[in-house]
Amino acid sequence: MTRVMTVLLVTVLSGGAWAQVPYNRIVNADSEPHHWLTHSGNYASHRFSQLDEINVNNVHRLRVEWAYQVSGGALIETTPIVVDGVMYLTEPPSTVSAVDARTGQRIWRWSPDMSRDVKHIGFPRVNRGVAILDESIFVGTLDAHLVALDMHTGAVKWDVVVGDNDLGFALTLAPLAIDGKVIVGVSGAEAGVRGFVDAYDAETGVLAWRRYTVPAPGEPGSETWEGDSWKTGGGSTWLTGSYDPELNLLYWMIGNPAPDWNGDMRPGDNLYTCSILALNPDNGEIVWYFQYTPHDVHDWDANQIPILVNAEIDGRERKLVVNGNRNAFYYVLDRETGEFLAGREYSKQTWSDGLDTNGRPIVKPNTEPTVEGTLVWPSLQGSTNWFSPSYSPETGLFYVAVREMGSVYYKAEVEYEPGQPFMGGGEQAISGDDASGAVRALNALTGEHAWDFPLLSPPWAGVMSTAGGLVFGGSNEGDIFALDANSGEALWNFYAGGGARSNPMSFGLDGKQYVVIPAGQVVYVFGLAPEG
Amino acid sequence: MKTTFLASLATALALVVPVEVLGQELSTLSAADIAFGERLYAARCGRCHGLEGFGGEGPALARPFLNYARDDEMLVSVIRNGIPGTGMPSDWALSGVEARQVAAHVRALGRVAVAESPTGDPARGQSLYRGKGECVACHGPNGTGNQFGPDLTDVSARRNLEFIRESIVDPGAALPLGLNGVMSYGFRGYLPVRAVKQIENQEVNGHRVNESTFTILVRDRDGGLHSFHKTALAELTKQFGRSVMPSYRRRLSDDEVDDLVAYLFSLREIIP
Repeated sequence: MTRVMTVLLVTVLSGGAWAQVPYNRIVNADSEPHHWLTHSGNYASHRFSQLDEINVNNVHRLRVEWAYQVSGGALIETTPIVVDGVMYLTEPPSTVSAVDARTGQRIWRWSPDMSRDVKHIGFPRVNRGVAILDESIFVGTLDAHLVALDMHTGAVKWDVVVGDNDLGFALTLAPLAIDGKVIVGVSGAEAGVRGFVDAYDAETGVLAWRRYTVPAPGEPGSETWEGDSWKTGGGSTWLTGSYDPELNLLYWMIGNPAPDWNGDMRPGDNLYTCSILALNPDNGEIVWYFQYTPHDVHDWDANQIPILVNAEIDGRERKLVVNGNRNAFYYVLDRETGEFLAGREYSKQTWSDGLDTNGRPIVKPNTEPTVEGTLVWPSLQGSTNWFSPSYSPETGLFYVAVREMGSVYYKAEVEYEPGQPFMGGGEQAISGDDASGAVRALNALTGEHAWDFPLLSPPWAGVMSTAGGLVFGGSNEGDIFALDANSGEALWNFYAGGGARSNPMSFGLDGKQYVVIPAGQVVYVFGLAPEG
Repeated sequence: MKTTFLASLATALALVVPVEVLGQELSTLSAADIAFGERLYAARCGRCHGLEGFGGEGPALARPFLNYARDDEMLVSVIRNGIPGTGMPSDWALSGVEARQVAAHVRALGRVAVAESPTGDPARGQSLYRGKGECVACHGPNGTGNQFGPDLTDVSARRNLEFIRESIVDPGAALPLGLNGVMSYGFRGYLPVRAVKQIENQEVNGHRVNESTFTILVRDRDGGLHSFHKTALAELTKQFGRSVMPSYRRRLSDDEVDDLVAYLFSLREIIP
């Protein structure tokens, strides 16, 4: 309450020039753990809550405090942001709601004026959340706009077109707001777009820079494409990246080449698809890159959230970026240089004999899609997917929701038509009783297996670890659960009545910790019941 | 070589004229379109429906009329969207043009070949069903099923003769996929499970109705529902490859099995 009064007072005194959530507040997000200021909780994307009121000893008392029903009947993939008593969440496909974090009552709601025929080729009508900076909420829309809203009223401050939805461009990711800029990426590789990362001026919406993820002829990397294939080369940028303010480097993950399953049409390594780019946020220049899956033919985007970890390796302090990749390998890179430090298989795969000393996969023969079909692990959806992993600085473990499923991959001829599917094949997944899932804990510095919590089916929900020694997650069948972060033992579960397809997050208010996980059509907010 | 050439030609034609294919009656699609549809069918559909369309785990398609696809638009829709509550999945990766090419091939199967008809005597089969076979106990007097055994009245629309035969002599080899839409596609329906509670050592045998990571719901032979938290179980065995239905391999002769199949086929006539 004191903080709210102070905020009101300062706002009045400064005539509105004072910003409620300045960049410095986000940089120091770890110093106010009762707020959740970015998509993944901090710029390092740890998805770790320092709050420990809810812990291994009392988590059995967790109960629903309030719930929020979303509109639209589609999948909820949002991670809310919570600041100063207000929760900002998105509802499918591109609606933003501000909700009182104490009670769940709505304060304002904004929806874009969007055609019902909006294109979303290769993915459902989803949105994964907002970014906040100064006095603005930023949201990407399914028809590929980036919109800045007044955080108090939901009024539109500016609205820019990021890409042409008629060509298949769409925004489903939560934007990333840094000092004075909003960074976004695009979906659309399944329609054969040429992907990019954009930076917009947070105040005005003016484009600051654009970094294409597929180089044009003459640019470095263009030698990895033949003919005109680069023009329709894919390389979507559809999940939120991470940021190191000290190195002033932005880490953005790049998706699959197009067409997905027919690699004959794009010989070469196809840079920078299935890669990580370290970008200078001032101008968008590539400082270094690392390609996880050269010449991907299985749609194994590398978009999974990159996590920034500082650790001592062989007696030397290293700044790392780690990633549990869709291709079934876990990677540890030096985030100053891009040097490959460690990598290993963390989930069943049948396409590679491992990684060479530079981290390049040694591809087995006859694992490409064919007209008749080729059975390969992991499936098209990968060993993990868009849902977030988590890193706990307290346990040193990397937690990831893993999909153990194979697929029969098909190759087909395809010709590019603007705004039409451009995939060149398909898959038939080995599903049901022949597939499974797990929440898996890995040594963050090596990828070595620590523990598994088995799930009935390959999951679509991310995980969050906490200082209370817990890992929260969810299942397709509607289970929401808390695990012991050290052992993987299930300590609490709740049947939500609808599949969990989102990421958990946590916040504190009035001295009480809350855990938020959407499932079905509902955003559930849990807190501890009183003792006794 | 010739096949390759034709296939390439088919592909080229299919790609050059997609708009025409989208708006065209299936019966007027070109030989090249149908040939491309055949390749797609072999890769995506043949595993369940058989390469010649005589069925298997999925129904025979080499018939002039299909129950879920009375007209061409319904057929295209079934190919793209699947049939909820059955083992027929959607194939989102097929384009609209490809779905029409597959559909045209399926219609061609129906014109050139007609799936085999049962050879047994349905009247004798009915006597076996109600008498010696004791099928009534689980599937009801007229095949409509009960709370333990499934409805068989539309089994002829879902399975081919050989598959139904196998289901009678080796039921464990033929558990249905994605049954009734309770669990998602790929989970075995009627999976036999044995659950033993830690407390009181109470044992329940039955089949799985539903399951999550933490819980399982089992129906016993008397139709009783048992809900378990898995951590409360001393044992949970999922008996893949087995069935709660007994095998009739030794209880019925080959001719008697044919009669029973004929009776099951007579429960729902193929609608002309």
